Amino acid sequence: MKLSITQNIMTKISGAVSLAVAGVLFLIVFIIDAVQKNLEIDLGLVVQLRNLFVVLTFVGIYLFIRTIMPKRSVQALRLFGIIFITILSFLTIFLILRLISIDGYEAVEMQITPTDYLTLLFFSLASVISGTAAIIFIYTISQLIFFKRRKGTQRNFIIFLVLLGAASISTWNLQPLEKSTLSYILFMGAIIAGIANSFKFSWIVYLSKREKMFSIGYSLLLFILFIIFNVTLSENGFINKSLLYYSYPLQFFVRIVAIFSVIYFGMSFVVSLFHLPTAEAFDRKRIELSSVQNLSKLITRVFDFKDLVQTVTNLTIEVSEARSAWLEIIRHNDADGGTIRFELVAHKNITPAEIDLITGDDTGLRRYSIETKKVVVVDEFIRDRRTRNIAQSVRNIGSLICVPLLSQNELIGILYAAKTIEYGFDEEDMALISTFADNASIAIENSRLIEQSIKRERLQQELMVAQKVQKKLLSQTIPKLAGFELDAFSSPAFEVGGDYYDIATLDEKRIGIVVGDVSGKGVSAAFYMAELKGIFQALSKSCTSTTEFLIKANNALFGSIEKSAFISLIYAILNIENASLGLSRAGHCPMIHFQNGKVNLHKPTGIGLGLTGASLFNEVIEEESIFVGPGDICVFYTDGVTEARNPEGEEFGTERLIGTIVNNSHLNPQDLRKAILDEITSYTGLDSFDDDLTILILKRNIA
Amino acid sequence: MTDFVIKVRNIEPVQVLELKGYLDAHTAPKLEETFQDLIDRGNHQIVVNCSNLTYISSAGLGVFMAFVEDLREKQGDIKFSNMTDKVFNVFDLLGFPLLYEIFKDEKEAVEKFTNAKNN
Repeated sequence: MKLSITQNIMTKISGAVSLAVAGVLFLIVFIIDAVQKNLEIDLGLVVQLRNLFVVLTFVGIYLFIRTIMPKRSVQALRLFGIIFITILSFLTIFLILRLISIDGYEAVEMQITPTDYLTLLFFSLASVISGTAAIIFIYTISQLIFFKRRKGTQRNFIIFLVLLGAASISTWNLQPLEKSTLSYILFMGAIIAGIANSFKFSWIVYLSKREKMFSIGYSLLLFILFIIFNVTLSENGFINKSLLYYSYPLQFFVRIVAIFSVIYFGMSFVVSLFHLPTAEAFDRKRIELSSVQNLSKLITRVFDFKDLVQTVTNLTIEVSEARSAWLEIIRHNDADGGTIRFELVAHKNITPAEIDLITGDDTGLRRYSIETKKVVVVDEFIRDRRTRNIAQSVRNIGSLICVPLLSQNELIGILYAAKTIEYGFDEEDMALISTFADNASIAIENSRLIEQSIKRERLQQELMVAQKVQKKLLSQTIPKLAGFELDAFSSPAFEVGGDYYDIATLDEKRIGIVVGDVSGKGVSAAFYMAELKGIFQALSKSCTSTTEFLIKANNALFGSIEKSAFISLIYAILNIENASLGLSRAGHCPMIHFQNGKVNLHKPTGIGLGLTGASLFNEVIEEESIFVGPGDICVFYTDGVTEARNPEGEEFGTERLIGTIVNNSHLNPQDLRKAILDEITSYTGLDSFDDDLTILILKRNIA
Repeated sequence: MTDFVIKVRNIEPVQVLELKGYLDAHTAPKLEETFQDLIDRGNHQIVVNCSNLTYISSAGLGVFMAFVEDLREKQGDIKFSNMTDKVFNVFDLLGFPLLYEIFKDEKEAVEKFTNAKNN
């Protein structure tokens, strides 16, 4: 970046220097001429020097022009514009000079000598202006010729330039209009070389039809203007007199360029004219090519679906030269068993209401696309069986094409294009749009995949947030109890789970312990688990018995949660003072009570929460009361513990759990829990648990 | 693991569903579909034969809960038969025996429906 800026500045500076040098040289020449006019003596060597300065002036001008002219790969028509403006300016100046009658010179034969300074100045200026114009012409035409240059192009043009230069220089020591054989041969050689170079019209081929029309007009106009230019250079013209006085080589140069220009633009006119009939076919190939380029643009747009589909629609119009186009994408409705619907995602030059009529059920176009996955063309929109009924409501459509977008032979959408003329879509159009549609399908499918993976990513992040929230819902701190030790552990199968445990201090001597399991797994279970937490926090303190709490919890949940959802819960109230434990169960796994080397499973009757109404639930629910002796262990758990499977598919089971408790009954709750988890993982052979799993252990201290 | 097969037998007017394999969160939608299908076609008396059902999860139990209310409103029901001890334990733990009639034998379950009708 920095480099190119520096380069730019350097170019500008060198251009300015060249111009300044040219200006100085021009002044020197003018002064020499003025002096010579006054002294009327032959200055000999000084004249040779003066002529050299004239040449150098134009070298300077050339160097300057090179810096201000557009660089390579410029559009042909812009070059035409430059030439047009130059020649028009030149002819305008010429006309103005014609109006001012300049007669301050003597002409003997063609030996012209200005007699006053003003005329001398006019002569000098006219010469420099025509020389500059000639340089601009030759430079600009060279750019046209170099368009899509081949190996020989440059060489041929250089031959022309060399002959042009040689012809001009060959007149160095000649009197005005005096002709030597050499200069004559070189003059003819330059013209022939010019003609040879005039067959380079690659730039015409790449013009669109419209541009070709312009090119014809421009060429004709320039052809005429250059003929006028040649006329102004005719022998008795003012310009010619100026040039002959100022520099014979320059006059030679300008004349050759003028002739060359006439030839080139004459040829250009004819060639453009001949290219016109094939313009359309070439245009199409060109669009085809550019649409392939545009497709690579599509690929970069896959990150923005909206942008992508609009681009596809716009390019469809460009490719097929249609008036309007629109794009429908199939959306799968996951909620009701995967029915599909079409969504209009982009449209141009047509209203959604009109589209609705065309793609609606009346025409059957969409159905046909779904069934056959083939391109459909309606040649006569107004008369076609399928569309005639809606033709009155939809204006400006003569013909229509529907192209299915397929991805792995699955229909993912339909691309439509419409033209105002009938029979607007021929075989070639169909092929072109189909090719385009194939590529667009890939881009759209990619875009959808990217969108999906972004969504998945987002969902994953939200689940991580949910997981954090849920961890907070599970009892964070385990209260210290006099004479008892508590430990709780919970691990969800997925990010979030349906297991729940909580420990609440009901009053100074009573502790509420709850372990629950919401049916199902994952997000829905996590929602109910959160609801359960709310219920427990709200109700537990106001309930004097475990059954009272479960009855109230069932009332709160039954009817308010999904029919297929329910919650199993076990609730115990521990009295620290008298070491009694009240226990009720709502469809949950039993509590394991280890006492004096023996194990009891406590399973008071109770139906899961949310399964049945108050009448049955309240009727059957039971409460047990247990005395927790010193060293006794109470284990609450969810079915994730007992239903953990080994590779053979066998469950860990209650017996193994009891065995583990018995074998490790000497441990404190925390270590016992670890022992149980170790036992489970060594049984399943997995590092993690594939079900929600919760263990809560209460142990009474021995002394 | 996800092997789960449902066979439907028609013993007029009762539909017998024979479940085989694992009924869990993955396979529950299949059972849901079958129930919905039966109800849509006006079958409201359903016996679920569990002789080959090796495992049932809470999500599986949820399927029965989702439909039983609707069926009972239409004078139908879901009755179970031929449960293995393991499957029965799951039912029992949740208190399902209090909510559903569970029979040792499919025949008894079917007869319960037909007798009730005759009476």
